[in-house]
Amino acid sequence: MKPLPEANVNERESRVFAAWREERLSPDAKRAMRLALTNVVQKTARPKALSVSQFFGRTVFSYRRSVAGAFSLILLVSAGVGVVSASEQALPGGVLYPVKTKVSEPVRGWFYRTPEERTQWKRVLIERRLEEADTLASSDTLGEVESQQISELITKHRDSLEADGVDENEVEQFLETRGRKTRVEVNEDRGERRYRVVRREEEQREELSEHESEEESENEADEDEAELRESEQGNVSEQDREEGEERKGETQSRAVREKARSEKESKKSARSKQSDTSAGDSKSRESDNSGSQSDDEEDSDSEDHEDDGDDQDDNDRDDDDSDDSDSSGKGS
Amino acid sequence: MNRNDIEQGFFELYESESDALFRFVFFRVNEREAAQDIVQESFTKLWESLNGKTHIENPRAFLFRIASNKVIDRYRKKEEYSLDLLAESGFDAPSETSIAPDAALDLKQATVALKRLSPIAQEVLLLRYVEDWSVKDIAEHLGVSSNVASVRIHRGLAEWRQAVHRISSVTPKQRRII
Repeated sequence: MKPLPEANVNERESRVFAAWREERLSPDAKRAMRLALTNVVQKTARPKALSVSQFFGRTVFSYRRSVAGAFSLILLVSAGVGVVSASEQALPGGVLYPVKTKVSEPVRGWFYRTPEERTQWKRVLIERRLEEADTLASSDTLGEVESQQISELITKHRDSLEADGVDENEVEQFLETRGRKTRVEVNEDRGERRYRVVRREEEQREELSEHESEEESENEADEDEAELRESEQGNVSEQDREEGEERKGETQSRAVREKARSEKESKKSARSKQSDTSAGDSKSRESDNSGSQSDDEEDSDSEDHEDDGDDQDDNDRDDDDSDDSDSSGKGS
Repeated sequence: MNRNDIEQGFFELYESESDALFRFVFFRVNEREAAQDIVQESFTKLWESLNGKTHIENPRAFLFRIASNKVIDRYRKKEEYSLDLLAESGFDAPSETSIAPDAALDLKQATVALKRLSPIAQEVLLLRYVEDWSVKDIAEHLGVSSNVASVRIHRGLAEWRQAVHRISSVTPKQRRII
């Protein structure tokens, strides 16, 4: 049903309304009434409604546990009411993003009292980061800066979760699979796990054949070398994704590649650690310390053969690029 | 989040809404004293409800609803006023000094006309045109949809115009009888 149009009042009527509007309590009456109300207020017991917040001119009474109400109080207190509430939608790279991550989210976290709620809120934060990354990736605005911001925050949230006793595998599995357009790469850098948000390679597969950049030739050498190594360890699919991103030539992947060069071993170690915990654990630690490629190959080689079975399916699904590696993988 | 905040919120509401509430009541009961009493009772009741209820999302709506009910209770207790009675009992008309002479007559008629309307019509007109409430807020106050509220406003305005016309079209001699 269409809403009715506003009724029209003519000028005389408007004047009548204006005259009516001038009617009010006399100052004396108002004061007297306020006094009387103060008496009433002081006599009564503590009201059960425990919090008050001013929200766009309305007064909202709500329970202490009502996070929305308490949060509104914070909105009142913080300098810019509109700023904080608007920041809820902010994306990395945006002006309000720092407000969102440094003010809005921590403040909301304060109102969760039980450990379970707090842990859950941290999970929510990680999910938020991934959604932000996805949104940016969809509109093609996921640059190095934004990825950096998100990745650092994810690392922070993750550390916080770990302090709560949450299993790191659970988190990482979530990170790997959650994003539709992005995924989170785990890098172990000097014993510390770092996360990096990257675009999922699937979207770029179509563009690979058409795309030509100077980095392609550079990457090819890289790629062959890497594929060789990768195939020996059976992690071809992962490597392909990395290479695919590099070929696309995004600034994001450039940095990935640079970092990946030094951290490829660590990453593979991390992956093998995931699938083969205890044995892989010590092995990856060793390769971290050594840092040399040959060592790593020897070390992880034996372990990752166990991965071959798992990754075989991935290999089969890969496109042309992996053909070489497939055969050599079988050969090794 | 403590009692002081509640108190403060309560009195802030008082400062911002007491005049509006007074108008809302006054134009319907037409006695200043009675209107003041109802305003005070309404605020008191709001405060008491804060003791009992866990969550009052919209205190202003709550407040006006209380006042509305009190006005209706008063209607039930008293008999219908006649124009005559009003005039003799010193009916407090709004100040007319700011309005031109021929319009002044209109104002008195307009005010009386309002009194003759149904309670719902009175409410929607006062809230919409004097207090500038949105249709949405009025709908919430009435407990109906925005569309229904909009219809009520249209009807209320029509009713009022009819009443004004009836009053103003009567010759001065006949006015006493109406």
